[in-house]
Amino acid sequence: MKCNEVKELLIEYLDESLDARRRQAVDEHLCDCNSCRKERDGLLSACEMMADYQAPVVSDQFTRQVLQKVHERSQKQPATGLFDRLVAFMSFRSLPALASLALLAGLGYFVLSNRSVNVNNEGFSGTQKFEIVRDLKDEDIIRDLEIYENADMLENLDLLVDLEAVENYEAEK
Amino acid sequence: MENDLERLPDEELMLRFQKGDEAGFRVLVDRYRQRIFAFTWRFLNGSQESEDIAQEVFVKVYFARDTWRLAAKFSTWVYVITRNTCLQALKKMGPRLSVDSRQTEDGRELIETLADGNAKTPSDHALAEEKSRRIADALDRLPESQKMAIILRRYDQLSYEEIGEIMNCSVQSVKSLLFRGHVSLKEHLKEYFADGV
Repeated sequence: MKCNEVKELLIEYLDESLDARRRQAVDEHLCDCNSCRKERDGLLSACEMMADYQAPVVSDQFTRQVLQKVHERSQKQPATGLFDRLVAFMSFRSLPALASLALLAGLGYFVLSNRSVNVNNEGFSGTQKFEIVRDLKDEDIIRDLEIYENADMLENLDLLVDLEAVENYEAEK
Repeated sequence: MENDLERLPDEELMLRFQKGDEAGFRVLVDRYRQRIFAFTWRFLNGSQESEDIAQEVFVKVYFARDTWRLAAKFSTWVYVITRNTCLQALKKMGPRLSVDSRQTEDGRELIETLADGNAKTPSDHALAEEKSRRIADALDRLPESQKMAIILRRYDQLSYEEIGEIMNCSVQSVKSLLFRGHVSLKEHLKEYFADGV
């Protein structure tokens, strides 16, 4: 085994997690290699030193505080069901929002109803007038057309009468 | 009743908790609180917020109980939550935690120990303090992943496979993290060995 391979296995070697074959290979290498032995000793000292780094004992109140936080968080959890959400929506906390919504709805109704009254009072105006005028013009045109058509008919009738008169005259002759 | 529960394995307690038995949750908190707090304390370099963060882990366990599956070992699952909570906390706190908070806490401990007649001598305590500070500083100099792997292996005695599951990486990556982390630690602590303290 080469030094690099041995050094990479030293942590597993110290943790005793190497299989028997590789452990023996590392052991044999360490017997002959001073540099790898130094590396092993340095790592072993660091591991031993770390064992002295102990965390403080957790406070007696830990579990009680966890349960307290859970309780507080449970109350803040958003409602999931439709009914729950409706109840939550109607709760006192949402009163300002509901009041604002009602105010807006009232204001909207007031504005819209006033607008329709104005239209009724003022009668037709603006574009509506134009529409009516256009309609009236259309009616005139139609009437005129009818008149022309009637005139044509009358004219044709006159011609017929004239033609009949001519025919009668020729027959009398 | 809770005495009976204390004899049950984690997974059985978790199944009961999923069915609505909150006593199972309390037993799990009592069983894991020291381990989880010690992890957060070491990972966050002895920050005063370590205990709050450890509590947050259990609050998350409570609300995420339905996501746990029997196929997963409870201890692995709770360490995954701890890892994520610690990383989130680090993001909020910034990359480097203030060592002052740990020193203040240690200073308070020292005063309490001095008042206790059965404790070590002040000089012993000061040496132990110095040693702890050196290790904390050496650990804090490591990249997060190496630091986490070393804490899980050295202090929580987890297997390489469990560490891989918690850190979401292969066993080979865990070995590599541990190797590089230990080599860096040895270098950082070399000065301390040379002092012969």
